[in-house]
Amino acid sequence: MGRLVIGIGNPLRGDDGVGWHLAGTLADRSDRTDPSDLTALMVHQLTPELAADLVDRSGVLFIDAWLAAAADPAGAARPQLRPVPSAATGPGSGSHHLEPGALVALADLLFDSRPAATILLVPAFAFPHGPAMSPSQRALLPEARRLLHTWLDHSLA
Amino acid sequence: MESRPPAAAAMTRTVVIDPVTRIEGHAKITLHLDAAGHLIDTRFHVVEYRGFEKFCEGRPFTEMAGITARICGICPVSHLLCAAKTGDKLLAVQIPPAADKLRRLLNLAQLTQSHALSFFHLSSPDFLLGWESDPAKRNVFGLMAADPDLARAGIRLRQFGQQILELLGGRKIHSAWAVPGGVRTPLSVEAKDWILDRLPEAKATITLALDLYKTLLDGPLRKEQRVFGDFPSLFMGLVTPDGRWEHIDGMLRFRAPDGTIVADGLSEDDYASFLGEAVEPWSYLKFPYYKPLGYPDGIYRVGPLARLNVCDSIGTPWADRELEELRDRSGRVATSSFAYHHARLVEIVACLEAIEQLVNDPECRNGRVRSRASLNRNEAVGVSEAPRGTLFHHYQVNDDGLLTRVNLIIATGQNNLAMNKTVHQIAREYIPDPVPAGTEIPEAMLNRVEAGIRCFDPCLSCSTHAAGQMPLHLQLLAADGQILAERRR
Repeated sequence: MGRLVIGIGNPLRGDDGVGWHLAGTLADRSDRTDPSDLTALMVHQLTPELAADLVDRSGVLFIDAWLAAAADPAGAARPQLRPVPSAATGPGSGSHHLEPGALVALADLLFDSRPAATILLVPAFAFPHGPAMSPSQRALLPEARRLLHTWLDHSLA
Repeated sequence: MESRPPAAAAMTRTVVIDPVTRIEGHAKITLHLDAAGHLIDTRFHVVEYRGFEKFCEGRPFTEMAGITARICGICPVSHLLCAAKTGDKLLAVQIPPAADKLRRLLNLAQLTQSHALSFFHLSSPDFLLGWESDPAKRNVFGLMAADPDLARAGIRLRQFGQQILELLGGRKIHSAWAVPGGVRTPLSVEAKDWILDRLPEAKATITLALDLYKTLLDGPLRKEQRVFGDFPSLFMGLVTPDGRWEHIDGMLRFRAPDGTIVADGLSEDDYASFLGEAVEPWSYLKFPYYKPLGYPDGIYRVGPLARLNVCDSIGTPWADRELEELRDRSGRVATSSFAYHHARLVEIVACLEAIEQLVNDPECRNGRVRSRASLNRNEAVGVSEAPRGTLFHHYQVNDDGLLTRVNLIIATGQNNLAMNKTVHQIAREYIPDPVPAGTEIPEAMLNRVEAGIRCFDPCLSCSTHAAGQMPLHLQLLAADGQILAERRR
């Protein structure tokens, strides 16, 4: 079933929509490659039934906004690719709020499926109502796209 | 009503469960004790506010389907459909027969996926793992460890409903497929084939769940059925003109706990004449009530149990057999709020049977799916049955079609009085009386109080709306607000 990209966030809350934005750009990419190899989903939050979408995937990439401003007020936060380990834990799990690691664990436990999972974290600074990204996040988009394409190239191999 | 301010006492204490977990939204529960440690009052507080009605003003009514669908990522289809229906009335059009059937199909899929989430993911951990089990494991992962087949089947049942939403609307959530005048596209052959291919598995899953649930009802859950919010109240829901189960059209009916039909054939247009909305200073959630009986005596319940209580029958064979069994177990009018769980399963059966009928109906492939007109009215009220109960949209627009007033009456709000009453009954049953000063309230008792709220599967996102984590926060407060004890998880 190829690879899966899941953009997480709310496209109507400023920088929180970056996951949707980047996942949405993959339509162009899949025109140039094999569309059946790549599926892009955009979701507001990870829900348990998404575990079924991870089945038989060679790789899964989550893209999410990363609340970086508070942790790094100096503005040095950069987009990052990180592996997502399986994590069958989480307070409050069972509702509509699953962490990527919990979703990976669900796919493993329920469907014996263990795709290589990675997350692309894009620093987010402002979450006002509306689709506009903050200037700080917009400045980081080229780097985020490079990392996305890095994952696309490497996960294909 | 138990939610009135407690009687003044020199040394009362209050137990607070804040926020309530495994519901959609943010809330807390307070249990008020008097100086002697007796429970004297309970309150289910909704502590979030979003005010959707206000910021819809000034927008074109044609945008309401898209805007209100964004009130909630859990049941956006309900708002989408109700907004589209209200828009139909502003246009003063009759939608094509295909559009009516396709909207029905969408709502049936929505009911299926929402009920599956409630039963398999949110409530089953309580049933299968036990009230005394470790709260850290009393979730979907604990359920997987206890019964992986059930967990897997539940996830795939929800996926079945979600996938139908996507096949019809192009996306699982926030689809703009339903519009004033109809829908955008008919059912494709591919979608029909996919649905029919997955239906047998969905039916097998709900059979498994019903068998399991009935076994539990006969054993470990027998007491919960009796004490989780078993009290007399009215029930309200849509029915067809001949009194059958309805979810998107029809007329409103109120039935009393003794089976009497209190009011029938009510139109949503007249809702203000029979529904009142009270407010309390301690909650953002309104308290709707049946006007002829006043507040709070006009308490009524909506949702799956109410729909099954108000209807005469469902109209499909398997669902009607299950409905009869529910009535055999819980009464012609089931008054226990715990029976909401059983009602959800019966409604899933009804949905699956109706979905099968609709996808095999050639009309759903008819390309004439939208009636077009311009604005012909300045005011309209739409109604539909959301998973959690009856949903009203009331719009007033100017001659340019811009909204000048919006009123949304949400299912969860209509169950507000009943949720308060349910919490009170559970607390009376499980909280020691009196509570000795300085003692902890056992976790299992707190979980039962929370579970009383989960019977209603409340969606506070719709009712008020805010995002947030949902840990458990418990406080024991004196009458003067001093925190006597506190715990979090």
